[in-house]
Amino acid sequence: MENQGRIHKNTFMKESTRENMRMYWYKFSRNKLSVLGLLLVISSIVIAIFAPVIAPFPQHVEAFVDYNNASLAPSSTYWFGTDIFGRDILSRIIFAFRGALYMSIIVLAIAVPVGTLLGLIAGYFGGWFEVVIMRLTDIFLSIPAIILALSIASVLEPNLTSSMIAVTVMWWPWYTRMVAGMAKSYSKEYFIKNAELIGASKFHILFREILPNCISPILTKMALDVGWVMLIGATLSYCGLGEQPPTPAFGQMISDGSKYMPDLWWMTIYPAMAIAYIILGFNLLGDGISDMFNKGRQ
Amino acid sequence: MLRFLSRRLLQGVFVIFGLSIFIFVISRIIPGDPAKMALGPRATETAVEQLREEMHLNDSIPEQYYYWITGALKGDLGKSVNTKRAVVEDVSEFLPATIELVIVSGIILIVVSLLLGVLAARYKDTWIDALIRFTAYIGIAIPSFVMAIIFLLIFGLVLQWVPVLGRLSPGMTPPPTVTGLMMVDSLIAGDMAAFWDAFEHIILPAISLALGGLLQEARILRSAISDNMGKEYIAVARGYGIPNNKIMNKYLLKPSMIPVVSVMGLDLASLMGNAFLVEKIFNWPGLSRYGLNAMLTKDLNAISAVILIIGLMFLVINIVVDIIIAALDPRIRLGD
Repeated sequence: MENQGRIHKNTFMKESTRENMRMYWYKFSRNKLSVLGLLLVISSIVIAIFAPVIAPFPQHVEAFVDYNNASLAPSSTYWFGTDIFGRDILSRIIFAFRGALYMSIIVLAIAVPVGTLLGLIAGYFGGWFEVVIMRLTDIFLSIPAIILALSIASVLEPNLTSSMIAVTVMWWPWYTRMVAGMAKSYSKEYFIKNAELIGASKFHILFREILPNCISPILTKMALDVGWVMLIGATLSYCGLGEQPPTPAFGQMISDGSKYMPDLWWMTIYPAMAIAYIILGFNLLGDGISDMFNKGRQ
Repeated sequence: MLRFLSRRLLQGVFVIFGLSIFIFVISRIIPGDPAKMALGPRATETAVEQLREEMHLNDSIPEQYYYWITGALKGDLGKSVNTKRAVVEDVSEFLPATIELVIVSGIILIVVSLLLGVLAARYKDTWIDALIRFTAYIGIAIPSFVMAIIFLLIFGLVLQWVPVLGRLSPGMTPPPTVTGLMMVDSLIAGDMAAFWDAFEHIILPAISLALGGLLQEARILRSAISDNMGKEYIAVARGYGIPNNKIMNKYLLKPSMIPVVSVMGLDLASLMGNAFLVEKIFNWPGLSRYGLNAMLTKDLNAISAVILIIGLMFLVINIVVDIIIAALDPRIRLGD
């Protein structure tokens, strides 16, 4: 931890940051698996952004029926085959990347700042703030995440927004617990005591002194969490509580396809492979980032 | 140790209290009138009003919570809209199947992950190690429900090695219920055929449930062992000429177990959560399948009961794991 230090502001910042970046990239790229993860993630993002251009049959993503071409095995026209309505599986998978990434981004964009802020407050101020916030965290972490998400999603209307709300509600406590621990230990260190002595505002101490030192663990966790959020999202959608048809989503496609196993195996196997692809990518990337920040550790 | 234990238990009571409020809030934010939903769209106004009164829906929220929590403490969690029975009755019928599945799957998780972890550490940087690490990555990336579907397909439908769906084959007479755990009951009754049949039914769901956590723990154990292997006390032990096997079993395994046990505890507890999907796929008549049905049909009392019971079991497992860790690592129980 000590070699990360705190970020010093000085006139050479620009140059030293660039040097730092180069050093980080060197450490990151030494592990081929991390680079593979980065490639998988970048390709997933590209697929999501350019879905309408890449997908061979963009119209198959909407409510579309073509019984002449229904339940076809993979072929040169339909690379991943078609479903029972004659829709191209590949096109639907390509569009499902959008929903999955969108969900992860929104969930983390809300859960991480909220969790971090609460963690900073609990860790730095201590006292009642700490008691209330940390016990609340304990309660949220006291039930399996998936059950919490399922129960919240089940009482709301079944759609993508509800599942995002459900996952966000269960996600912030992890960040609160992590950041509170770090903020608490930093608040006893000299650089915080110094800042307090020279009369720095609470705002300055929280966001300018403590937060920058918590950034690398937060980033590491975020990279890993993108994959986990997708996994939970796919699970919710598998249970019928996520994105509703005809909009494609991985879990829902797998659930539909599993009714026709093993005859129409392509309806299940390809969406399953797609979700494994994207989750594997974020896991490898997350491990790579964590190695990059904690040098010397395995 | 006693102080550690009592503090942990007190914390647990607090968490359960908070959880009960949380469940209550969830069950009240649901859009629509629970009484109307319970009776269906064709119910008369007076019948709905009567049920509202019966369910205490006309009282204030704190009063409603009071009725709910005192009922829950007395073992009354209300009636299920789906089954028209007391939720407690439903739960006591479905819970044993889930417990049996989670226990078998937990045993697989513990035994196999330790075995693989030690194996990978002992043959570090060989193909065995590489294979285990590679499978671990794949295992983490594939959702458990997908794994379950693939297992069902390969071993159940294509190879037909084991029967799938349910706890016993249709022709079998279930052994008289003593514990509710099919395998234990058939042993008590001395019915080996039923025991074997039950075992064949449980093995596939149990493996698919255990697999994700198992591979992850094998990975953690491997890196913990190889971290500790570089430490001086192991070099000293080697210097004394202590055989490798003894070093591994006596000096390496115990300290390396600490990070594994804490993750394993989380994973064992989350088996309860993942059982939701595995039970659905294998048509396992357990609590999770019951809970999932309740969630899809918005059966409030059933949802609350399932979350409460799973939360309780989650808590118990976590406390047990904390005690085991404290027993393994004197620094935790003395320092805290």
